[in-house]
Amino acid sequence: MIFAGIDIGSLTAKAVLLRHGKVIASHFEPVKATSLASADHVMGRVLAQAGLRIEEISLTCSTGYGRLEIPFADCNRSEVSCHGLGTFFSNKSVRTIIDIGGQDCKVVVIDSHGMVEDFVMNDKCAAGTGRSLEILARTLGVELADLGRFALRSRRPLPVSNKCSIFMELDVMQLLYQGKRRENIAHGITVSIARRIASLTGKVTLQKGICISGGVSKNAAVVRDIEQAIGVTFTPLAHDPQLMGALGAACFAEKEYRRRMEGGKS
Amino acid sequence: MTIFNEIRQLAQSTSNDYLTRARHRGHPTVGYFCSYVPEEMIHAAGAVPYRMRAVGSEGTSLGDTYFSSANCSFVRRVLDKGLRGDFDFLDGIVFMNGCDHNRRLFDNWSYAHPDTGFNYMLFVPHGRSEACLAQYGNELAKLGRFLEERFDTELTAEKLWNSVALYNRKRALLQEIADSRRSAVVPISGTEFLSLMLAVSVVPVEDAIALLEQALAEIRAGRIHTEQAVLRLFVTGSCLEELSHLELLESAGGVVVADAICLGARYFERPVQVGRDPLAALGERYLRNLSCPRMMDDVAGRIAHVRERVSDFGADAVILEKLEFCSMMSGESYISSHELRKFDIPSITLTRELYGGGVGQLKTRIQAFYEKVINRS
Amino acid sequence: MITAGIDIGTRFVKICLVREGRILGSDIRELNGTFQDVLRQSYRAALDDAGIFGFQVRKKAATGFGSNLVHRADFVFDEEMCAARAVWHLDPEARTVIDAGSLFLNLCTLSSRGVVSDKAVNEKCAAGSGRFLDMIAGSLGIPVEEISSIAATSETPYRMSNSCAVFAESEVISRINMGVPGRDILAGILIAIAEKAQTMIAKTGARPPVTVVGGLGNIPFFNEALARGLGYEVKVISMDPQLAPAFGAALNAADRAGG
Repeated sequence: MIFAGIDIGSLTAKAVLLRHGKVIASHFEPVKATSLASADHVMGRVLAQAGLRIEEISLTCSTGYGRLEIPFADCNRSEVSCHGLGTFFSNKSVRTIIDIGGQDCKVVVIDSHGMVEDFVMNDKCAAGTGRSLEILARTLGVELADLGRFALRSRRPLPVSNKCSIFMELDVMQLLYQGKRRENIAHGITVSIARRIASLTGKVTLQKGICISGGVSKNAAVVRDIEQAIGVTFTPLAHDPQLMGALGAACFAEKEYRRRMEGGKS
Repeated sequence: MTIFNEIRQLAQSTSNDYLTRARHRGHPTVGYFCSYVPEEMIHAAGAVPYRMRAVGSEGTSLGDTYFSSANCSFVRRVLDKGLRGDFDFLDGIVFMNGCDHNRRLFDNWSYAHPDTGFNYMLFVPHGRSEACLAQYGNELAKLGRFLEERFDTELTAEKLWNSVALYNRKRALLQEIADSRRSAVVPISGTEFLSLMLAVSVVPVEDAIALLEQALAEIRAGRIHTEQAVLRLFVTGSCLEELSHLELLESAGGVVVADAICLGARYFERPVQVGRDPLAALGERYLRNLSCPRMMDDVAGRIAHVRERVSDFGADAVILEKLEFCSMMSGESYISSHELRKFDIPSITLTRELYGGGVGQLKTRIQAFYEKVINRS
Repeated sequence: MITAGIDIGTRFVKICLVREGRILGSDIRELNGTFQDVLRQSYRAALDDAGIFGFQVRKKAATGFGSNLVHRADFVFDEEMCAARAVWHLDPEARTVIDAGSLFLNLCTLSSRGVVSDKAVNEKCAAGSGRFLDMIAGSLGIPVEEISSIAATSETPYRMSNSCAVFAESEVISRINMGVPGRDILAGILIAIAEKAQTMIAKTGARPPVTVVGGLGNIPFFNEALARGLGYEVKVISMDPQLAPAFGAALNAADRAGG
């Protein structure tokens, strides 16, 4: 029995295949022109990895901004629930997830079954999201991956606004024009984003066992600064933190399959 | 042919034939804001009360000329419509200090003076005490004198009681339709109910009663919206008039079964008690009806009302609706969500701009909330 | 006397060398790489363009977002002051000047003697900025010079629903992917910026005629959309509108230096 989870985000598409409670294939790549094209392609990749045909998938669940535009998905779940369950699958001790995606950040609190208890989302303003990091890296003239490495080399973060991506960008430009060191500007950016995230976590009651997921979680400097800003050490995950949404979707696909087998309505 | 098609049509238009016909019969149209302006007084003066709304708004660029971007999108859109001439069919407007944004709407409207007839400001106290009631009585008397002079008429007790009877009838019909959603088989969706409210608050009361009677007949004849809603919702908050927003809530699997909003229960709950003095009776009803967050001394009452209705209508969750920059609902939604948590009633605050974008984000938020509520059960 | 006006925007350095109210030479250069290097190169290019030597320049004035970074400037002026000075110099009839640059919309009104009487900056930023337009045209593969003529062919301009520039960008990109034609997107953005300018004009009670300077002044469709909204003609300055603030800065420097 094989279950598929597809997560079409604003910047990346991810897919996971699950068999007997084990991840047998996973892949992520930048999104294509349409959600459907992204889903088709990323699904093709994981099927190829596992040497399977699409007919062999028992059930597919979609999530992410493009979740409603994938005709071959049998069901869909919100990103919030998927990140909750996916992370729980990856590490059973997790109770709070800080997810920083391309276009939103969310904090999800889950129960001892991986089900959502509470959540907050910041989806009105792009400051602090992956997209704003990308823009700031471009302004700074470095690759996104290097932004973190630059920031890690600095001990003195320069002040950068955390109110709006555009204002952040103006601050960064001013600092650049003044000839400040790129390392310290990069550090200023990661600290500013961490503060932004920390203010979001204040809106829920954090439960012990906090982890971080989403594309931005691969930026070591941002992770370090968030840990400092909220005073915790993140719980590690067994899988790539960018795959949590897709992994959760695959778990939901399995749940949905069992429900349908038991004669529940679809 | 269902009456709900015509109702939806009325709900989505700024003006309508009913108003035009009434005008030809010598009944001018008077706009009003908020739920604390007694429609009976406008009606008794021979005019048709018209609840102001931003339906059909094209943007805020003209409204932004007078308001800042930190004002709520309701006042910006309504003023914008006014400046575009959409409300030129009105013969006057009764404004109210519902909140600071609405209060300033009066100033800006007077200053920009679109061609909408007179501007009258009704000041309503922010409380329900005896002193507030007495002051509200004075304000109503002043409004009465203004209307008498303006329309060259006399607001006799007889006329007022006659209007009260009509509006009580309208309220009773709305109440009955609203109550029909108590059963497991929901005959009418929240979106349909809101369109009903939008329609009957912009047509003469006599026509409204006729429309409501037809709607009620359909419901009694076994109209079904859904037999088994995934989630039954209670909606409360400030200004909410977008059918598209409730559609979004209901397309994700929920159905709105009860509410405490201005275009909802706040409008029709509790009839005016017939007694000796019509203005006193109106004052008592309007000031002490189901309150909105502008009333400072009734937070507990509002929470109690939500709890009572939630259990009465078998609602699974509460949606707290708030417009960006709504000063009233900012505090209220915070307190409400805390209080409701104590009683284990799940709630979510949805902040939005009136007719705003970001539908994708809102959809995710709503779906996640529904999933969370369903997982509890 | 020769004076230099140096306008440091968020994307371009613009330099204008001026003698007796006439432009001797100029340079517009994108700001990438080290700021001081770009500035030096641009200044050198402007000198070459004018065919003069550095020592002939008596006074230098800086303006724009990065004006504080021009270390050797004799004066630093507000953007509005410079844009207004340039426009009034070329057209004493001008009463309202809109500077539509890459990030901000600046407005100022002029008295009949060319004195700035009122100023305004748009409150909400980048969703309707030149930079945003640039970004979108870039992702549509449309060169800047063609934006106007392509937008003009739109029959149903697309209206953005997001006010955050970053989200508006992804909204627009998703629309492009859904098949909304580029012309409708560009027309929608330009109309949104024009509406913003129109609101600012109404808010300050500015009077006609309105003159547009800054990068957007180069886009006739924008000027036409603004004129349609205002109900009266929008004037175009008789020089590269992008260079106007730098020109104004040089003029102001000459005024200040007494010549």
